[in-house]
Amino acid sequence: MSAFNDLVTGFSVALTFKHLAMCFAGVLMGQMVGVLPGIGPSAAIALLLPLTFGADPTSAIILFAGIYYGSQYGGTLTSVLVSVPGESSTVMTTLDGYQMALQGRAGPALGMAAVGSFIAGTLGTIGLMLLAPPLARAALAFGPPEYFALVMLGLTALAAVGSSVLKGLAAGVAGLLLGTVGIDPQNGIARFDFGQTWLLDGIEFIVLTVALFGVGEVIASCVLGSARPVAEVKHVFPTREDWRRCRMPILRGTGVGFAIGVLPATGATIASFLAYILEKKVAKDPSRFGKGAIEGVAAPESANNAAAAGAMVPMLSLGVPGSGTTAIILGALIMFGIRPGPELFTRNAELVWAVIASMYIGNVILLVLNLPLAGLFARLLKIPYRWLYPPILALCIAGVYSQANSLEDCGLLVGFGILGWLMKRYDWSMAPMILGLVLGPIFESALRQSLTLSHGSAAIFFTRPISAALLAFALVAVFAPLLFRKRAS
Amino acid sequence: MRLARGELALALVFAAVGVLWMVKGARMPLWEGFAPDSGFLPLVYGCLLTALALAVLALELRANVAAPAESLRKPLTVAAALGIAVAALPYAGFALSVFALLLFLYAAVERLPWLASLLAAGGTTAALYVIFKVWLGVPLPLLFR
Repeated sequence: MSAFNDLVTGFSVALTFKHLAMCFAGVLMGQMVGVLPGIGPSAAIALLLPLTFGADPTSAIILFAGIYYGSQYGGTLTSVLVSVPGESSTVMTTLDGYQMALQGRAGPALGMAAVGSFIAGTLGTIGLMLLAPPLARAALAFGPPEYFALVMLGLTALAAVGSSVLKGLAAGVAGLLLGTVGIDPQNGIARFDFGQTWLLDGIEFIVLTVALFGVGEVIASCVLGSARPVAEVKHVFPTREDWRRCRMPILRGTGVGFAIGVLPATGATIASFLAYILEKKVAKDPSRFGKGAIEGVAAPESANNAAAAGAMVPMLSLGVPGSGTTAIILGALIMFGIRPGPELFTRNAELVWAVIASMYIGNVILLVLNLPLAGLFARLLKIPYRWLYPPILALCIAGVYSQANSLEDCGLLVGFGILGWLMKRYDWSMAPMILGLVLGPIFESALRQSLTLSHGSAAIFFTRPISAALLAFALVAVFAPLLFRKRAS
Repeated sequence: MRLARGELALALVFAAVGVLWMVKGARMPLWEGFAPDSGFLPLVYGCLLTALALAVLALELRANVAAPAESLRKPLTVAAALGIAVAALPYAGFALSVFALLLFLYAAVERLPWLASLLAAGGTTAALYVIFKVWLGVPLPLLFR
């Protein structure tokens, strides 16, 4: 009942004109960046960070959340129409979606993906609403050792999401290391300023995020060729037969997606993969899969949207991001002076419930946008990347400069941008670096407080059950993907 | 198969940064009372980063990973153009630097028609100027400050 009352309060905030406009703008931008080549939701949020600096945090987080789940819808269009997944989480959709497009059924594939995404997104948000508050309440008893273990779990979990755990861990440690630049808040000692006074304030989250996800992505993607031929989109409303075939795959995909999304170190990509495999296993005729089976579109699309909602559970209740994009949203919360973690639901209840309410609204907007306007969005695929990336670079310069009116930050933008390009080119995960920079100060102060409490004994991390369990999960997060990949290969 | 030299260079850069943090961290106070002092975590991070980067390096050498197929010329040109535009900001100001960067990318790198390039570069610069300078009140660097 309490959750219901909180949700009503959330709706009363989310339904104001300003927040509705932000929600609409967020899902529309998410849809567009999902479709456009060379720019993903992480880059889009990174580029918008400077514009939202100093704005109302609720509006900004509603906008960012909208971009996050809206991009899951947008990525489907490219998967179905040109066989190029807009996001890694829509890879499985390509298998049957593109085959349907070749058979002249691109419309029903996109329509069913939109309906499945809407159902999964809505059910996933209900799951988020029911699961996150009790989880946060249980975590309210956390002390410094538990926060230390939480940060450790967050970093290792996110490091494990990428293609190489070792590279992810190295990026996470590099982020922690960059977080030590500037004045040590404990005793005022200047660290790693290299004699430069402008480095005493440390490296800003916005600068690193815009550099890695904005400039790095642009330099990596500027080699993209011209737009590819796009299949025609007609008759997007699913038929009764399509609906009969897809009812259960949507529900199963939602369940699998949400469960996987809640777990750190997994994410929407694994969720959609497992949902597809599950449908193939339970199908009466598995040979249809890969040849244009509509269930092969409905299940993974439902799974990736449910996973996006599921990934918000650990992010909002524990401060542990389940994906790269939620890591950036977490950084944005800190930028607005909001401490992520269990206290978020008590100290910033209005913000959290407004964001949850906006997710219901955003899913309705996305359904309305996607069914009649799928053909219109498909036209975005015809925009060549060569027209898009120069303005993105210019926006990066203006955005980073505006954050502190600092020309030195623009220099860092170029340096970290080149680093981001190399990291993307050689498949080093960038999100752990951002998370390391953001969580570094919390990590350091939690370590100091814990060891002061225990009179210098590290046993405090292993003798307190929650802290020990979180550290054990961190170990599992590192080693489970290694075993999983070994088995898969 | 050609070894990805960029990948090795990247791992070496991370390892070198790790060593720098180790050396500088070790020179700071490491422990105060019961808790770590300013140099402790930088030293630990430095050791970890060096070890992880060297592990990646060893794995890549063993796996003999192929370099990505795309040419480096265009990304390097774009990166260099961005670097020059940023370096010119204090002297040429925001509007001129950004306009020149956009015009160069559109007309010289992408070989788009001059008129279209001029319009796109001018329009984008004007839009950014209005958003940041006029709406948000950001003191963007002016020409010849």
